Amino acid sequence: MQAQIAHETEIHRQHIRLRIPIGVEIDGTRFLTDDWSLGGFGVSNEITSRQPGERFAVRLFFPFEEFEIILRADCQMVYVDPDIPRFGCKFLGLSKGQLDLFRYLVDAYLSGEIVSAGDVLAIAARENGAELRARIPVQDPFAEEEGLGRRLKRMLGYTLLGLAALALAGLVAVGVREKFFVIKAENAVIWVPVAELRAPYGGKVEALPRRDIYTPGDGVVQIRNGQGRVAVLESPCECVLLDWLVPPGQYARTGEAVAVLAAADKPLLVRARLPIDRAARLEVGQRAEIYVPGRREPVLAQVERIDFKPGLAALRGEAGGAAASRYAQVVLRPDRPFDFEDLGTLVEVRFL
Amino acid sequence: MYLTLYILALLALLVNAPAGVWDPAAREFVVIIGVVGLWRYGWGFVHLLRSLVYRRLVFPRWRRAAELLAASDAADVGEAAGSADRVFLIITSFRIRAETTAAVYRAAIEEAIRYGGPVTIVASIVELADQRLIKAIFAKLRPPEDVRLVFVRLAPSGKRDALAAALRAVARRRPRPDDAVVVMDGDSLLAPGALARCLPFLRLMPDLAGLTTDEDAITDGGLLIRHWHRLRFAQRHMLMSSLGLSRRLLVMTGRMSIYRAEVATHPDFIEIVRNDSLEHWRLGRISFLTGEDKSTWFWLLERGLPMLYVPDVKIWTIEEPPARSFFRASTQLMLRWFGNMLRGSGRAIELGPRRIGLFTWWCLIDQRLSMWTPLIGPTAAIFFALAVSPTFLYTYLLWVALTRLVLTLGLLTVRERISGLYPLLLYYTQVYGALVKTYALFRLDRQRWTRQNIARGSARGDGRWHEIGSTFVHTLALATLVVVIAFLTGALELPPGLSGLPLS
Repeated sequence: MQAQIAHETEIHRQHIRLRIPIGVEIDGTRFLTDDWSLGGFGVSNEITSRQPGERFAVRLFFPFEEFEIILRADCQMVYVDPDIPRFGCKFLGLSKGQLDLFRYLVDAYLSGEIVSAGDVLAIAARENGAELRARIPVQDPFAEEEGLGRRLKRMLGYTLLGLAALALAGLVAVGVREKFFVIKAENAVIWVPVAELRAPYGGKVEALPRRDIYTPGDGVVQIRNGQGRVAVLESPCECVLLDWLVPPGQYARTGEAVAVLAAADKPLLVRARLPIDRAARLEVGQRAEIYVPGRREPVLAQVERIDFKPGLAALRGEAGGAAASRYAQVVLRPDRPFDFEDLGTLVEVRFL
Repeated sequence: MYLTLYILALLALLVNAPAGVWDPAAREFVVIIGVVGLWRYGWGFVHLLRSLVYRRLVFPRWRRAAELLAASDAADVGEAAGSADRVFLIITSFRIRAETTAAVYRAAIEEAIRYGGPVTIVASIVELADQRLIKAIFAKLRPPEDVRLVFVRLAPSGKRDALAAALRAVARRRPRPDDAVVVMDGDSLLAPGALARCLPFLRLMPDLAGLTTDEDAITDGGLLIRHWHRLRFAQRHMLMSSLGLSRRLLVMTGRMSIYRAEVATHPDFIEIVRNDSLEHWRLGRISFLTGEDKSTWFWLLERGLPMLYVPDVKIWTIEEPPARSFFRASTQLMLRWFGNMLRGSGRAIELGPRRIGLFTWWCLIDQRLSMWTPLIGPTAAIFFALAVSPTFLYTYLLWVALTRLVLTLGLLTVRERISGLYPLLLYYTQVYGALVKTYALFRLDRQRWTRQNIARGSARGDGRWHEIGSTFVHTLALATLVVVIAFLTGALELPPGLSGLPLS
């Protein structure tokens, strides 16, 4: 049987919704609604006796202080959601008398009137029914054609953004490579083989005439002991005097290094310390960039030697030696020789 | 109680902090977090100071003057309320819970009666059910003859149409230029005496175009959403008080604002309420569905008309969360608010500091920047944790907990009570809210009427392509931020040739 009056709330809600709890009896079980209107009601509870689409009769209980109104109505199950759990029903074929009574109860409640049994009886006898209004479809007020200029503008914008995205992707790729795949050594120095001149016995250090370059056999320094005995320390190589470890005029102990000579006939190299795991990824002949502080352009170089042997201290099991043993020494030969003044300069090395 | 728990938790974190927390190895961490923090909190401190100056020094003087004016007016006209300026009280309601509608109209009618002058309540509604309900309440309260009720019923085509129709209805009643037009949402409750305390300012300040007030929320929802709403209104109160000092606001709030009738009934004003849009290079013309309060605000701002914030009058709004879960509800609300904000602020920024004032202009710029800055801290902390040590997450946690507590305590200057949930909700709103803002920024065409359940996904053209484009631009922007932070934190490195710096 088709319902004579239907209450739709999809688009244009006909009735105000209320959360005043009223009772609903379905198949002998009484529920408490949490949301109802003249169109139907919702209950936050489980129901197993009815499925969506089923039509059935319910009894509605409106509690008041002094009395309770019970209405019988037909309704249809609209949804059952066992997860929340919740179900909702819509009324079918409410009589005009029932509608009027409903409306009166609702309005009276909301406007704060006190409802008496006499009022209810008076309203139940009144004729207040009205036809439903036709639904008005909501129009899209935003219809607008797009011009060529705007399309071009958008295409240009997207092109620029696409280029920006590519640049960003490139930057990320470069950043990842630099961070995770490029080996760098911050612990590096410009270096050359050096020789130390040591005092054969304790005595006063006396400098011999200084030369720019000492050939093998040239005297560099002499040690004079208390008995007037003099020992001349000679250059073992074609060297330059790099540093005084005991300045002339001071006393040196037996065996103490007095001066450091650097080989003048060999190019300056770069010696870098690297953790063994990183050094193991290097190969002899691999290219590298050497960054000298204060110079913008790097100096190109190649790996000449990789020394994985730990120091003697590590072999002896000394504490500091154990840490040192985790490092390898890498020697690099620059493509362009360094000036001798660069000797000893701390540099950074980036292996390509 | 929550505050005590929060402070105890913070103390526990401090006491049990690992040693490395106090000695951050990366100078960059301190620099990044410190510089951003200094900027953000410095700016917050400026607002706090301005807010205090406004509420403690400036506004009380205006309030005294307004009271004197109101008293002298009353003495001049005696009790003849008929000579008072007329008030038009527009309330737009659609699909608001009946209990709320009843409470709102009851409060409005009672306030109209209390005001004592001629008040016309214009109910802009859609539903027959609402009309019947409002009539019943009006009849029940039996207001005097000079309180009138006008219904404007129209199809559910949105709040803009509803408000424009109501404003036209006011215009048809030929108000005097200095009459007041109160524009209210259908879920806002007028507090007793609100009209009497607000309206004298329209006389006191002849150049004043409109005013708005403090707000607070009665929220029908769980603990988090209730506190979240109250927190946001407290923050709003501080910000609006700060802006009030410049007599330029960032919005003429739709919940309740009062306009001079010559403004509210101006044809251009009504037109911008009904039909407002912006041109976007990518999305085309975007017609605004929501955010009519941003349109009215822009109309005033564009014409250099002064606005006033009345901090000692509070409007209560009955907030019904759009979803049960806090996360979904807050996301939907933030999308709506931030979308409106972003759609409205771009063109206001274009007006420039000369037209709208340097402070207001910078606040608008800051609104744009502040959607990115809260993302820097957590991203940097994650990168440092990955690249250097997980201890940085602990350091960051302490920093967040401490700074948000300080910010929360600052709210004691605007509210008598604060909650221990505020620091957590603040952080949530800042960081997650920033993500939502960025989402909205690149999808300005996405708008939704919550109650009408009408959504607009895209401007004219191929909506799917617009969405793909929006996702692309949004992803690109976020990726740029993340990549920049990655380079700053050392999680990624530039080759020396590109950075111009030594390797280390």
